[in-house]
Amino acid sequence: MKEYELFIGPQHPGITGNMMYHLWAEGDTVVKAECNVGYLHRGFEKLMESRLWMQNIPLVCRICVPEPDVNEAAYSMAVEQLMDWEVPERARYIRTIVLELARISAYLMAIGGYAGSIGIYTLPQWMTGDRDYILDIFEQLTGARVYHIYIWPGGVRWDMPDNLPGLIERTLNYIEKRLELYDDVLFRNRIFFDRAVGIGKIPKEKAIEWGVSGPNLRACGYGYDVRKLEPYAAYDEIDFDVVKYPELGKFEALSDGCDVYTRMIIRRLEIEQSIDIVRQALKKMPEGDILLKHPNWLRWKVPAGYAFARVESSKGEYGYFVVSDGGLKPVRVHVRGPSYTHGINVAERILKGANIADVSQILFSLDICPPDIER
Amino acid sequence: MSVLKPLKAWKHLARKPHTIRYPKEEHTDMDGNKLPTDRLRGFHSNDLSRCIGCKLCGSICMNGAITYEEIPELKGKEGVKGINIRPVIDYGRCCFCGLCTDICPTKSLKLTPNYKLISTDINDFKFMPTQLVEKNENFEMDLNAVMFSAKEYAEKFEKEED
Repeated sequence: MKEYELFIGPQHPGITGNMMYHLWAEGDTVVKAECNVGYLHRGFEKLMESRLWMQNIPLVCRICVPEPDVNEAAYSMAVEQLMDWEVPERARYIRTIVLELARISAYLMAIGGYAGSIGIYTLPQWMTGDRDYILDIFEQLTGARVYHIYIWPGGVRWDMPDNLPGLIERTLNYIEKRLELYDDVLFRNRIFFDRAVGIGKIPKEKAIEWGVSGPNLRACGYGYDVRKLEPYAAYDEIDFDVVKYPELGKFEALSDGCDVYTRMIIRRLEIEQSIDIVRQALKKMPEGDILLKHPNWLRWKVPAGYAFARVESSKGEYGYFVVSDGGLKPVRVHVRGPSYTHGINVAERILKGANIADVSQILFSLDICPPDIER
Repeated sequence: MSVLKPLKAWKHLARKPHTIRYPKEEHTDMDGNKLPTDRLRGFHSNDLSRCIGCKLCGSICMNGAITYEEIPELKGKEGVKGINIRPVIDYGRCCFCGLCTDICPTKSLKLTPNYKLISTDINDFKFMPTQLVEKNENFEMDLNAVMFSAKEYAEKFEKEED
């Protein structure tokens, strides 16, 4: 049969953002896939070299739109390493709460998008609505709904208002209740089993080699989580277990892992895990300072050297490599984004042999975020 | 695993919707508190009598959104130059990060929770913030005016089409 070409994106509901996949297909089977990016390049890494250390904070959060806080956290941690700063106890707990709430909101968006890609259009509406309740918390805590600019080198920008722990608790209770409904509509739905089991497999032995991280790697059976391996914020004082295949709790392991089904179930379970972490952090949060005293921002010289800080985001492992020559501005900032490997390296390989109808669900199950591919 | 379970979604037909009928209904959080709270980063307000024209806000602004204008009526200390300049902010460039307010030595420059400004003229988005912003006197959203101008445009567009 003759091969033909097909373009998915950049304007396509089945793509995860401003990017494009160029597919070559025979019948309805994909024989070759090529990731095409360039619609969103803003040159962040280069821009950061021409800005002061503090001026970079409002910039880094724009690298991942659905979950901006991980970028602020990773950049701040790298600067703290260079400055040799110890973050106050209370700030570490507030960071944990912010990062976990951001993770829940990012997962809600990712699962909603996925459900849309297999034709269950009720869920994206509900999840976007429920995510808004988390954004209400962020608005009261950080002063902005999406780009929070809240986690700073040396702590967090503002203290938590008195009414907020109660609001967070009520919002989490609400989301926990809603999760049962999500289970009925998506995770225990026959359509989901029929469509997702055994599709989009990442070979387990290749997963590490290809650079897979985050929930996608945990779905392959590796218990790899930066929060556990190299605890940052207050994760070392919080009790949680890494969710990984085949320990899927109340869900059955229908396949031998690594597929779309397992990846989505892992995300679903991690929402519950994050809710638990936020509750623990709220309970253990001590009183005290929230921010170290900064030097004058316009004359802030960070000692020469280099630092690498990494955090676990909802998409995978985020890393910031920051080099300073002791000057007012960083010499080089390199961002290791998880979507770069998932969107280009992994997606191009696992799309080979897939059905055209499955392409968008495979892409959504990898949770690719184009702004972080291009930076 | 069931084919009937997803039908539970039908019960939402009798549920109150998430969405609010803006601007008739107010935006509230889960507890019913009015949003936005004071912490929201919206338009600036500036106490012109406390502002000393030090230009620090303009130097930290990474977007170059802040320029300065001289107000001859303001007289500072004698012999000090440039004391009667005040920031003018271009909201086409501002990203509402609030670094300018944190660096302000007199704390005269503040961010207010007012974020609504609708205009069909691009020049309306560049102005000198004063305390009026805080009192919300300048920033009443005139929905009738917006609807009117939209209607005007539609009519104009239709005429051009003919």
